[in-house]
Amino acid sequence: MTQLAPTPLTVVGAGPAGIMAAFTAAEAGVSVTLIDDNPLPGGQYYRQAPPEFRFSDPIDAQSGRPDAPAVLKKLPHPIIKVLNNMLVWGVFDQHNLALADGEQSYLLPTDRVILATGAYDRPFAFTGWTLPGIIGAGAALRMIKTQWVLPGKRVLLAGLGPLQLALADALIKSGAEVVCVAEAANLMRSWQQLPKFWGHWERIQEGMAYLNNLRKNKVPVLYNYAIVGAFGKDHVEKAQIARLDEQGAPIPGTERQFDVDSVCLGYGLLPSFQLAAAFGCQLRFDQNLGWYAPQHDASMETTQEGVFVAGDVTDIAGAKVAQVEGQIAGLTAAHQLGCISGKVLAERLGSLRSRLKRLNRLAEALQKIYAFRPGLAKAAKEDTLLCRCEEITFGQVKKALADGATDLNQVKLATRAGMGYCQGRFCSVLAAPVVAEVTGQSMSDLYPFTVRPPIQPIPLGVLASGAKINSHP
Amino acid sequence: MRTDVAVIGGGIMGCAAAYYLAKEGFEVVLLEKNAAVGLEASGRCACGVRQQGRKGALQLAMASVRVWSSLPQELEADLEYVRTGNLKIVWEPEKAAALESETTWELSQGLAGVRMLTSAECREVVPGITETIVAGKLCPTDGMANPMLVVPAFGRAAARLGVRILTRTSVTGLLTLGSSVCGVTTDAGEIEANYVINTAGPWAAPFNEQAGCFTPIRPGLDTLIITERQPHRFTPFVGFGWWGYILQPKSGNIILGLEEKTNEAFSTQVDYAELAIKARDMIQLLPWLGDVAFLRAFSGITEYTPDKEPYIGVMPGVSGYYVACGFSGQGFCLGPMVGKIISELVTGREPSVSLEPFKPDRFATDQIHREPL
Repeated sequence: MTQLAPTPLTVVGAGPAGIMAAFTAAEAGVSVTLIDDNPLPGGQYYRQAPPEFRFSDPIDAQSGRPDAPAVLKKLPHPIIKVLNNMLVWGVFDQHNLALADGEQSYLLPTDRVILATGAYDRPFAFTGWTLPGIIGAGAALRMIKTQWVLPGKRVLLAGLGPLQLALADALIKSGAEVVCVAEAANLMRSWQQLPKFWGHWERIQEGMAYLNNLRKNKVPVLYNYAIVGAFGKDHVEKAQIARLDEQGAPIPGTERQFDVDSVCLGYGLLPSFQLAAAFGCQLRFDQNLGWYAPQHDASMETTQEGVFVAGDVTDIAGAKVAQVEGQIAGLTAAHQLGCISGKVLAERLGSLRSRLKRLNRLAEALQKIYAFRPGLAKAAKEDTLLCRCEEITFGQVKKALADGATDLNQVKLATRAGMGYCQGRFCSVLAAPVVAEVTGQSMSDLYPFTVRPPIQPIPLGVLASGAKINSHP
Repeated sequence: MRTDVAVIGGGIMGCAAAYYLAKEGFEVVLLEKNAAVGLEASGRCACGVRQQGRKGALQLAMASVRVWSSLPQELEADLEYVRTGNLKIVWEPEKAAALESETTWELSQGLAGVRMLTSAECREVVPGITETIVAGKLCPTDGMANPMLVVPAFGRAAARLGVRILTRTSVTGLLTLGSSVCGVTTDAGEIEANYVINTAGPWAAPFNEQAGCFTPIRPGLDTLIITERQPHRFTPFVGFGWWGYILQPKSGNIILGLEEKTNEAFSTQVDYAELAIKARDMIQLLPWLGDVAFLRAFSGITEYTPDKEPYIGVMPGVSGYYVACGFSGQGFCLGPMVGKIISELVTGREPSVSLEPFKPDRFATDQIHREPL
């Protein structure tokens, strides 16, 4: 591994949270290293199209979001060093980040670190969920917006959350037929959340516009429904949805079937907490999410001193919240590094925190409305694949539990679920409800799989690069 | 609590001993400090079930391989045990001669089928390996098994025979009465027992000391690198002498093992700078490895004695106390047979393999090993 010069502050992830964290710290006088594994900054939300692409509207090149330029133009910055196409694959001795590009691995000593590593699509397992033609809603939206490619001609959307409406709208405008939108949330139970939308007129307007377009095109939007099966020979041809009970579990006998050539799944996002866990940061169980996220204080500092989180890695609350959290983390890190006084910090944090409070009111309402109800985990059957990498079924996991495994790590050792290429990102969240149900533990007692480097796989040759050559062979 | 036998430690030794003792009709309590059995070195080892290259433990290994061959039926579990052969490779011309004499000696000891391979033959068995290889030595009856399956399978089989496995229970010392050991103290209270079996691996020495016998044991650190799954590349377990080994078990992942390091702190921390150097060495041997992604690396705490042979048997003048520890990297292969031998000793039978090389008191008066350890 090649040793790099030490840096006072490293920000991992150049999405809305990471860019704002790096910019805020740099404006306060901190030299920042901003690392991202994509070719260009922006993250998922402000993903920039490759420079070779030509667009009639320049906004489309910057993710098609009108607010993107305001964030993206913070870079380049004279004291922010941006490392694109660079993966952070581990952390050693709390202060050395292990990095890798396509060629080499590096060791970057850093004093403070802000983790803005974002989130990933939540896996949702049901009969046939691995059939070709079934893709993530976020991926589908990106295909349409930046690549101008449709995922299919007859598309069923199944998921949880307002992203589904945006995707349905984009699909219709691009010429696809949306056969149905199956929304797992039960809006009838969520009227208490309505007052929290007061003042967020822009968001309400956006939602109404999507719904109007769906109504105009006679797209059925079914609330309290989830996907339970996908069928087809080499490609998805039929999709089945079913009505959900109070707990979110599918009710047998309520199935409805649709002819499709594509299914877009959007059951929400999960925090990419793996690097935070590698730092030894405590995770907390989030009831709405039904999964874990790094714990942090009001300054976005984790349980490890000098290690901060910002954005979706800790609260799935969207780009606006992410930016404010990034600013709070950036300012606090700058203060810890001696670049701003306690007085200035307190002043600026005050206004940022009240802004965050206002934004979080809406975010929390959405999190409650679109909470992942425990019954949703029941769409899977015994022979449904739980671990795609190692091809382990739900039945095999249940057998390991019957044989005496008592936690997630023991299930992993007994079945190999979690030992594959995804490093357990997907299968851990599918296995946990099964372990909880069989062993009678609560989900919040089941800590996720142990995180080991590399956080994402890297070639041995990249690891070996820069290492001194031994005498043999 | 009262029992016939208390076993300290739920690695392969403890689980095998508990199983065979229960089979003899003893009431057994197995004490394991972790949440489950097989979470230390026994469950994190490189899978090798090897006879060749052993010194004092050759007969024991040969006997153990005979036990291994019927172990899946015995434990009613798939252990992924396969006789893939074990290939030892050297690239220093002077070491080829040593391999030759090792072959001659092992054949004379009854290890059938072991033979020398030329450089070209080695390259046929392990495609893509560098031409600098001078010679190899193949033992076709050696093989591998899945450690993550073997120890829990022993534990389950033992539990079926009535063994009580107390997990998250640490043994803190021995209960003694005059010159006899009559139980253990744990963080959950005392357990009286007619017999105590010390199979505590790297943590075994203090109990032996309490029983009155100095058994030098040095903790070591053995590290494994696991790669993504690959199409079938080669069959045997391939050893490179002192600095590492490579294998491709049933799962298809490639496993790279690194030489053991001293580990006074009982750490399981992986040293990645070291790992990078090793990866580089391995890639020089097998260039195709450079493009294979590695998924994880982890370390286990192993234990080493001064002569790298285990301590098995009784202490002179101490009754009710049996040891099986200090395996120096040989434990996984030897475990099933050692478990059997412990049950033979406790029932007062003659052990089916001579324990002469493994006397627990062989360093008891050795001042040299007392000092730095």
